[in-house]
Amino acid sequence: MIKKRIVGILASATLLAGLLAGCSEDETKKATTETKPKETTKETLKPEDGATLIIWDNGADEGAWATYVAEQFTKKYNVPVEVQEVGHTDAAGKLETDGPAGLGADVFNSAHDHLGKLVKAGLVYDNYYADDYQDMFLEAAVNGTSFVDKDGKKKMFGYPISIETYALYYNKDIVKEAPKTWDDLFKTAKEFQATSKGKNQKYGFMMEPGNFYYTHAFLSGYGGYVFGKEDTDPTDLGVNNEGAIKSAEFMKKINKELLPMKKEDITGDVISSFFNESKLAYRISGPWDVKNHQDAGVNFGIAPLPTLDNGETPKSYSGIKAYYVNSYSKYPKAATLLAQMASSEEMLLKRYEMTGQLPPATSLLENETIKKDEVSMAFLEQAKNAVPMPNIPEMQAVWGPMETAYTSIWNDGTDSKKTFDAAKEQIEDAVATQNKK
Amino acid sequence: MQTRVGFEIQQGDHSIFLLIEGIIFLICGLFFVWMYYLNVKDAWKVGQWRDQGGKTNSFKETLRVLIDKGFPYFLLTPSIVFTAFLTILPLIFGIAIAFTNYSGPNHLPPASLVDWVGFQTFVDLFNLKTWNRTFIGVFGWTILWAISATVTTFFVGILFAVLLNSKGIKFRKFWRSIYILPWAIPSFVSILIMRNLFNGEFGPINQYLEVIGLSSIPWLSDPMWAKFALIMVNVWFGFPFWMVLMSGVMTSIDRELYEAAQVDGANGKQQFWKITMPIVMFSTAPLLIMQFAGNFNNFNLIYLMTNGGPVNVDYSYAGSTDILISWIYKLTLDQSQFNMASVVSILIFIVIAIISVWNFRRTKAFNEEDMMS
Repeated sequence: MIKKRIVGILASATLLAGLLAGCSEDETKKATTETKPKETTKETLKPEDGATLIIWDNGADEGAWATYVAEQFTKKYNVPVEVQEVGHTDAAGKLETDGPAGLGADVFNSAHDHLGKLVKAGLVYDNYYADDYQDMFLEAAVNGTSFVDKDGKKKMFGYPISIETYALYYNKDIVKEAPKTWDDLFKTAKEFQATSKGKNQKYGFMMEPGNFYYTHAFLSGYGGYVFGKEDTDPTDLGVNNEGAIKSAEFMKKINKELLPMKKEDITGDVISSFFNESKLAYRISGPWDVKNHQDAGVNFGIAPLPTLDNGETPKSYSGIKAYYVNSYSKYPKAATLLAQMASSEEMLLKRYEMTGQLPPATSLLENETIKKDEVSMAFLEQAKNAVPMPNIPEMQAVWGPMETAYTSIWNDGTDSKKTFDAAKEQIEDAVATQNKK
Repeated sequence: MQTRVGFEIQQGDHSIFLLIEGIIFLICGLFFVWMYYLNVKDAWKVGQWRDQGGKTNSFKETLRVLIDKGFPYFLLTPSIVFTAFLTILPLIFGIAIAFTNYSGPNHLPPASLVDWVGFQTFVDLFNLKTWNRTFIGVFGWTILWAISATVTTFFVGILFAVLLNSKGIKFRKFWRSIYILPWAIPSFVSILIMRNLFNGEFGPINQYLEVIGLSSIPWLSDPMWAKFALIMVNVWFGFPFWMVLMSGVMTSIDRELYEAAQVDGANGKQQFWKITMPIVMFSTAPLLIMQFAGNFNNFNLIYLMTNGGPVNVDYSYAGSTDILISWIYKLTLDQSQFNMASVVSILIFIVIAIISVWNFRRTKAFNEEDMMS
């Protein structure tokens, strides 16, 4: 008897399941026909019924901001949102493994230089409101979060939330005014250095000389470039041209006159502690060190990088953080709305207040609170001369060889032309193996 | 392939998931075939028994036999299932990846499919200039590193154990706890501190060297010295383990052996080499192999201390002090070169397996029960 009953239940359960499956199939078909892509008139999105969302963002201040956005979103759309802590540089890698398994976040914060990988692996939706974003955001932010997809069309994928770049920190107790040119900087730095000897040696200028993120400012300032056609053509490498060689000579000059030590010994920790102890007049770094130096009580100012001897401003690399919608999201419409809300003017301003990160929206550049803030204005000034790090996947093959090249030029004073030729060859090899069918 | 219409993404086939599902099916299939075989065999046996006029068990009796005799099988089943899916599945998966073109940026699912390429990746590793230069260099250093890291910690450990156990040492407990400290503090923290100690320009080590009139040493910026620094730091982290272990072994050595030796006129040195050393070696040699394997894959130390640096112009995606495992880390997490990383890990597996088997066979502890007679 019992057996029969079980069989009966099982049979009806399978039937039911079949019916349900049938239903959902019909529904998907309907949905596909309904949402035909229209270029001009965007339908107003509504979150799917029963949607719940997950956000990945960094911890600390940024996490608090994400939680604030989540709360506001829940208030407006009645969709519960959970915030999980996944660093913006780890998100792309984690999504690669978790996304297809259905475990990834619906909306996540990622550094823009991971975008190429994300798009090539088919992990993100493009920005549904891309047309509106073109004018609302800084050009660097739009370019950085755009990518050529497999149809050969350049599309914007991200919802930018902040832009950052590096600039010159100077200790106001040591130098009164920020130098306008590198000649000025060399002069004042050397004067300061000469005041000390031996054990308590003080330094005029420090930067991480092997890190291509920083040295790119000089490479590009002297006319070198990484990829052709605005960093989108991997077949055209400009890392060993005239400009690159000039930048190497410039690095050698810094090494000889201001910073005669090995690259491995000038770590971020070392530079920070020297600056905190007022034993260092100038350093190059990004906004992430502001709080560190404020806490240490250093009286410092920030200025755009001084102009080079060819009259050009060094072109620093900028990074753009943006929210992206996971292509595996179960509730893409709700996720899109959330990403849009996070990059709205109001939320970006809130983010600036909570984290101090610069909003990449054009309208906010005129905002009074930001204008009053010297630090932010200095970084914004530099951001105008910045270029976003290339986001094509081939860039991953560039960092290593370029670090190696600048390091051996700095440490061992190797011949610039030869070193960059070798670096170029290595990048080409790596790209070739990557792109092999 | 993934396609998209509006907000509907047709996810299409995900090669890697298909691969995993295939392997799961294969394992389940093998289980099934095995069970089927056992069933048929049993039926055949029972049939034969019946033909010979034997009495077959009723259902109740079968159950009782199952509970009486089959109990061990019940207990073993979960572990067999776990082994199959948590050990064998990832192993087969890892090996299978080596024969595909699963790598960034062009062969990453779901946007594109992954294909079988046979031994192509192996061939690339040995034939392409950029890959084989790196492989040979990194491989050589890995072996050298594993051997010297193991040997140095072993001997420093034995030295301290002997010192701690010799007569006339005061505050023995104090010394013992002091020397255990490096092992007890999370290495994650102390390695980062070590990196600052070894800073060539501002690190205390070089400053002391200068105070006593020696010239400073480019610890982290010169490949040779960086390697040396790594081995030294590893000694610091590794020797307490051996010291504790050997102290234990030494206290268990029969005092009479030494007394007899003294009667025979053996000096301290002879006593050490003829009594202490063989007994200690006998009990600890098998662990040496495990330490070797551990050092072979000592990712933490390399990654946190030098991060593979200083840079090496001839290597791709690796620095002068990278060992195979940290190279694999860079290949997968930074570069998405999953297939190449898989090939390298297969090679690591082969090396470790050969050395382990060879060593286990040679270690007398495993062959002879009482070597000491």
